[in-house]
Amino acid sequence: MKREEILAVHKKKLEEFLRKLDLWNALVKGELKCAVCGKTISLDNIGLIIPSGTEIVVCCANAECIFKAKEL
Amino acid sequence: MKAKWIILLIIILLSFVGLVYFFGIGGAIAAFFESVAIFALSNPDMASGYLASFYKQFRSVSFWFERSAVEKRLESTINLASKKVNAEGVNLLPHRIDIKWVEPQSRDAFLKDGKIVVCLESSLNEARNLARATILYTSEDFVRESQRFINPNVLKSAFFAIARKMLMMDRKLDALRCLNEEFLKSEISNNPLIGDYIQTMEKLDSEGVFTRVFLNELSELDAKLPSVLSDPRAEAETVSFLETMKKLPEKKKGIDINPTHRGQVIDMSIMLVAREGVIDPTLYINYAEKCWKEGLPSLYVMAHGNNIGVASQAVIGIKALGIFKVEKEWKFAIPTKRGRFNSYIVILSRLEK
Repeated sequence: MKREEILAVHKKKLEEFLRKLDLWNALVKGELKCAVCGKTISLDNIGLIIPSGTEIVVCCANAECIFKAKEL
Repeated sequence: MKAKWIILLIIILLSFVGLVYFFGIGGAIAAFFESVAIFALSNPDMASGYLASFYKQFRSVSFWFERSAVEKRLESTINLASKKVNAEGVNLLPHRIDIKWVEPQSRDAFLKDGKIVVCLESSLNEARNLARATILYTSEDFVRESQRFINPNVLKSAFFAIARKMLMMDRKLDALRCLNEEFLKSEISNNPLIGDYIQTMEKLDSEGVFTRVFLNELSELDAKLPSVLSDPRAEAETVSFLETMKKLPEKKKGIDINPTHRGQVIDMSIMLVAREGVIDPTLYINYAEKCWKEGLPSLYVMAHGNNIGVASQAVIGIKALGIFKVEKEWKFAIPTKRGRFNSYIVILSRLEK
């Protein structure tokens, strides 16, 4: 049976991960918004981190946003 | 399945007795480790679950244990559940889930990899992780090749219905609650139609036809249609097909129904063998012949309880006529309030004479 690889980052490593991606400051300042619904992203509601062309976008852990974010 | 467990138990017992007999206490210790290894190799997903519980105990010792506990729990639960779903349908979830942890990397490297990363919580928040990973996995893997031909509302409802089914199979009630509260509630309040569709799908599942009939037809869309990005006709038919299937759980006793969907893409009928006291299968064989003459490509035979015997006789008769061949056959039990209810479903596909 083939495998469906899901890449994941653990919450404990999230700060380091977002710092490397230059997204941490925006998150702390409340400037990071969900690319689908526009909601402010925090450590509690961050769902996905998505490479989109030359940009990196994030989306919240809302189902609708997760479905739509995959098409970004 | 039962045979597999019996054979495994016999192997373990024989090797245990043999090792203890020849090597005493040393043999007993070796036999214990050998039994664990045999169990783990023959049931990797179940072993993953035990491993997750073991790692969780040491989560404060090292971050490696914490991360492995999250990873193994998700892989074990989702892979065991997807195996059960696949046993009810034809390759509905074709891939196993494999959680890969990404290390912090530069912006350029992340963009170059081009892969989506999901954020997971601590192993103490298993329910939330499970709900999130299950919905992500089903939305990626479920009837993967045919997704583009399914109406978006039907597809989204099917994701939820499958995710809920997977969590229910393993009695992951906390994760199910989390899925309902954090994902489903907002989805239904934005689009009540999704709530209606999920309800219909769950009623179909209680009859045993959600995975075996409804999803089987959806999964075949890719094979039936040319390699195009989407097809509005197919999307519309997935909605009308769900409406047709709705008749099944609404069937009243004593009223004959044979839900039939004659679309350009979804073209099938369900022959319900449900008449009380009928022991002659001719009536059903004639119906199958009529379907064949009308050019129907797929016919599903369905029966419950005492009617299973007549239904299997009818299938033998239909096969003998050479008009349909058996693609897949299930004999299973549906849990009801009055106990488990035996059921029978067969997929027949048209043969050209």
